[in-house]
Amino acid sequence: MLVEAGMVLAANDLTVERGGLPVLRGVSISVRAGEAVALMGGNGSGKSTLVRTLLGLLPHRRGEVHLFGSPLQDFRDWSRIGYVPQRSPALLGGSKVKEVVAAGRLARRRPFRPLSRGDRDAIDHAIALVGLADLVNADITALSGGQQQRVLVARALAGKPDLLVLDEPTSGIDLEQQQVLAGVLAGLLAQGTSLLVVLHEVGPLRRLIDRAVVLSDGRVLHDGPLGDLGQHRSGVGTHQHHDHASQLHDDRDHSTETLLGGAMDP
Amino acid sequence: MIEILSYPFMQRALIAALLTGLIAPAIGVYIVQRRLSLLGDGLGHVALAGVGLALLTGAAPIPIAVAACVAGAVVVEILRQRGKASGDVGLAVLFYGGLAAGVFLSGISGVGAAGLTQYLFGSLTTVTPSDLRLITVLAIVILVITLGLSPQLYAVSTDEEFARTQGLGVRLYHIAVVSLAAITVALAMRTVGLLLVSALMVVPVAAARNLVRGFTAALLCAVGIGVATAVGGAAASFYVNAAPGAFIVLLAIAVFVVSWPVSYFLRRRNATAVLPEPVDDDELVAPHMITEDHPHRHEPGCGHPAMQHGDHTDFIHEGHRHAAHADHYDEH
Repeated sequence: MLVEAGMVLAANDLTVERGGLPVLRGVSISVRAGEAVALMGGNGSGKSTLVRTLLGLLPHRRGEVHLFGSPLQDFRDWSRIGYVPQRSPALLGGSKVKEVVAAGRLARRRPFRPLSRGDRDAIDHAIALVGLADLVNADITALSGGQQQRVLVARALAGKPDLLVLDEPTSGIDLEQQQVLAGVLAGLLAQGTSLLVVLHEVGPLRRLIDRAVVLSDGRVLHDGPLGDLGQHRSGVGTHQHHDHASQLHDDRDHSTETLLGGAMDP
Repeated sequence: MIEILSYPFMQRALIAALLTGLIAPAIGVYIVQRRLSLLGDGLGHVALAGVGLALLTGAAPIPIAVAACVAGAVVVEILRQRGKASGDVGLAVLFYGGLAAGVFLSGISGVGAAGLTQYLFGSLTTVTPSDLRLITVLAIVILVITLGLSPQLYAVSTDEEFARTQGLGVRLYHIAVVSLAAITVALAMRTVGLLLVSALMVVPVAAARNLVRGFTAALLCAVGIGVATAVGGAAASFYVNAAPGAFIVLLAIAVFVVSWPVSYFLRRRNATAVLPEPVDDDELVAPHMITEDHPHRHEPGCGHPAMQHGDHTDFIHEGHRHAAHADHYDEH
């Protein structure tokens, strides 16, 4: 596959199996510099698996991933990537907010060197950016779910990444917190950071998204403008096998095909 | 207290205890963070195979036990990383194999299993000058790594996936942690003993987590508790003529027991410090388990009265209580 100039992330024909069953089947996805791409799809469609494969956390059977023009296995410039997982064992306790966020500087630090002035400033700046400056020394377990989510965002931002990968950063977080997050992400986009955001529903992040990739049953169902996606709330929630918050359906669901119309590949 | 310092063997024993008290919690804090608290116990069994081999060959036991223990730890870690240690069975086979080999080898060496007791629970009179030199050198290595690589080891032990996205060689760091734990276990055979060393790796860390906030503070506090209990226990065992391991571990557990009410008091003080204005309970909402989308974020000082409820804080909100739970609020 040719890696276009300006591609921060490019994956081609990715096939991933877990426990012998295919979870992703021939998925291709790309993120250009400065672009905000939403990765959407119902429960079990393979969104989190795809994100974790793109970062090299899960092995793939077929296909290739390029990060900033380098093949994944040769990629070393990890400070350019900030990963915000859906959940983290770091939230289970035993750490201060500051300590969790400081882990986000490790790609830029050398072993046996103390935190530099620049490291400290970047950590403080990242915590302030997500609005937790008052809680730097708080125990991580004393925070609410929304605050903990923002700690994970700050951790990813501490390394000043060029590509931020967020796995369902809005799930289970109230609207006010989602708007705070949208504001933070808008600021990053304005500075030229690229975003790949896994979303269950678009919500307050809608205005930021340049393009949506919709997965269904391990395949790309749609790759293009957000358009009408996710606005047809009325047709949603009538199918009992779906989460009530889901706005996108897998390919067993015919309403999705109507919703996506001509955007769908035959 | 001073006269015990006049015996050279006691000087060596106390220095060995001091060093063990330093290194056991320093590596233990990463073991606890990784939720492998019982690893040290298993490694103690493996070290016993090294002791048996030393008895058979007449060599000094500590170097051989260090080698056996590190080899066992690395095998366990590689099996775990390859996903081949299905459940705990692989570990159990290795650990009990080590114990059995130790007893077997000591038997055919003519010493017998009873000769292993001093290694299981520590023995003050057995610390030789060459033991002390080896313990000192390896303790320095362990301290340099556990403190110098603290940010990396913390990240790898706390959130392995995120550490990998920071480009850290997670596998190598894991192997380093278990190897250092193995060395610690083998070095501790003269002071706390192979069966009890695991307690010195875990209990001071558990106590420190109750007493202070944050990982670095817990690391330093645990090392302090480790040194105090190891030296105190070794000195006490001199007077009572009992195995030092028992005293050391009982002292550490005593600190842990005291740390419980202290932590409860500390948390309670933090929670009640933010009590604001009284509640308006005009609207009583029927209780249900999980709140719907809750637009307000509860935190100390948010305007809702806070109250301690078991292990967490409830916020009184329109006549009912909200408790933060993962990503939502529970109704209490």
